[in-house]
Amino acid sequence: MPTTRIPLLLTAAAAFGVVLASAAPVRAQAFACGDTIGPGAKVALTADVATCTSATDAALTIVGPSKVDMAGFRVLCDPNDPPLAGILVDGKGVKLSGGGTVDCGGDDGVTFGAGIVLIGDGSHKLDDLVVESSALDGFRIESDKNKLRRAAANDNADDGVEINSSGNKLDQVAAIANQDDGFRIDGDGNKLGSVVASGNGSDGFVVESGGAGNKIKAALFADNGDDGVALVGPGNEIAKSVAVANGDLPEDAGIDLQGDGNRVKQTRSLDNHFSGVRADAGASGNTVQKNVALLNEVDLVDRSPGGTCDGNTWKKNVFGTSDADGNAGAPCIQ
Amino acid sequence: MRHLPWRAGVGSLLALALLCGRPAAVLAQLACGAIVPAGAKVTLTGDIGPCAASAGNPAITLSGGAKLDMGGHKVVCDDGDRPVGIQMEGKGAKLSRGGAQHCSVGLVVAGEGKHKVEDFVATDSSADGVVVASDKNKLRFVAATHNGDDGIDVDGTANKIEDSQAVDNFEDGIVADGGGNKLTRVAGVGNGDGGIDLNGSGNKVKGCTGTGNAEDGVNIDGDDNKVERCLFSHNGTGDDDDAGVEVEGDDNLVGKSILLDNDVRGLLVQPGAGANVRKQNLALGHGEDDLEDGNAGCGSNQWTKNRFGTSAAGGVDDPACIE
Repeated sequence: MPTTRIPLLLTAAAAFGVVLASAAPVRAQAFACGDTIGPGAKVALTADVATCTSATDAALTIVGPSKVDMAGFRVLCDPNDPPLAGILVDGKGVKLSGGGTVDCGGDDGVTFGAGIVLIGDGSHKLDDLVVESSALDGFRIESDKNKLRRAAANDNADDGVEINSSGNKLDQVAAIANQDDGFRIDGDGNKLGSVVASGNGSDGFVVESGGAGNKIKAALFADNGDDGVALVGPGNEIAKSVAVANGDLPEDAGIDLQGDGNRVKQTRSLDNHFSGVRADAGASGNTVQKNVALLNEVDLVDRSPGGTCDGNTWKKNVFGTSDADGNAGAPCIQ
Repeated sequence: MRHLPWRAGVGSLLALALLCGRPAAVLAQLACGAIVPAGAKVTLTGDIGPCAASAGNPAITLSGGAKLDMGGHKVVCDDGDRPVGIQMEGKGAKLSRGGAQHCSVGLVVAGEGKHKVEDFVATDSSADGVVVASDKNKLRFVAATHNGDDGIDVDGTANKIEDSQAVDNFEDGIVADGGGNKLTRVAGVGNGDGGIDLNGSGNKVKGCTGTGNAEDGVNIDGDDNKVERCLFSHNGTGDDDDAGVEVEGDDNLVGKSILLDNDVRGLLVQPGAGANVRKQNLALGHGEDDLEDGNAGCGSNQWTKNRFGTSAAGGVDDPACIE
């Protein structure tokens, strides 16, 4: 799994210094591979941007503040030679909506791209977008305080949505059938609501060790190849969500707590391959409260040594089976 | 709560029910083939089974007015001789906090209806996971996974299914053959056929999810159904009729829904289907058209205030009738 950031990829304005469309009113326009839009642009696409190759780092670059309506058109890349980014969103305050990318987002061995990459000063607002079949990630969010709403990342060769930044808000975003994780977060304080991760090859949702204080609410994690959710970082929260039918390996869980101080509450974990909710050995200070875990091989599991759930709190849960470091039905899991 | 440490059979439960005008819940372990009598309140202390059909079919019967709290436990059926897992009979029974595994059908909600089911999982059935055969039942937090036919099959009318999921079933996820049912915040994910099938009429589906199903996200074969505020993405496997939403009936409404990257179309109205309303939907990223009406000039169907990339009606691209 690629983890290299994109310090990269062009800071677009500096790289090209090209403004193809400037201030209001909205102008309908066709664009070519390698074009840069903005800053200060208001445009609506009139055709697909195709077929783009690695001849430029980004098929299309948008520098904020700008407003781009893709009007249902897409950036189409050469699957055998894709650029690093299908759409590179740079600067601050880009509004992008109504389109997507196909077959974009490759890597050059140093920089790992994605279908749509958000960099710059952030505060971008993206609505109504589909990123599919990227050579790496679908969405890659490297800047802060962005909003992504009503979007899908499907069939990408790595993660569906990768967030390496903070303070982003995602709502109604689906990550489906990506080869690695559905959502992968390595930043802090992001909020995700009504997201769906299904049919991904690895985890549905993972917060890596560098991710803290993220909140996930009203999410569905179903039919993913490994865990529904894995919380490796500390202080994250999952609430009012469902993890169902995830995993196909002996250790796979609906929700796997590997880090410290995470909270799982009012969530259902059903018929996952091994455990419903599991705190791994070394994970402490986690709170698992008011959840329902049913028909998992073992519903609630705490691997803290000694069978006393050392530092983890399990209370007011509904479950059939539990295990604390080999002690079935241990009283520390309630 | 009274505790029955022994293996309680039908007789002891019935005796309890008769002894108490309003019986307290008893902790009990039911045997395969047990019938929980009317008025009894039982909380399970362990899993039941494996139950063979020869020992009683259904494995557990809930009489009208009975309450069974499964306490996190499940009915396990015998793979070689599968009974129905749990069958609810009569009127107004309540079932909660458990599941059924390896049965012919995990749960049958039968009788005169008005039953309540909450937190139940039906998995690995040879046929459907859950069959709702009666009317005016309320099912909440129900999951049907890895079943050999459909996940949740609603044959009755005026049922409410809420916060429930059908995942990885061999055929459809959720099927409403009956009419006048309300399905709220339901999901059909990764099923072998469609995510949600509305074969009956007058059903309302709101806040649903259909992703990764092999055929349609939702197929509307009946009439007068409403589908609103749903998400359909990555459904279909290339069959020309596959779509996020496929409409074959009349007078249906699809509104305020999101259709992204389905194979092959976003929202498809088949030829001959009429008087359907499609409004305020978002449809993007489809291999063929985002919005397609099989009728020339859209027939009597209305398409208003949708956001999309490509459209067609009666074989004509970008028709004026699709807005």
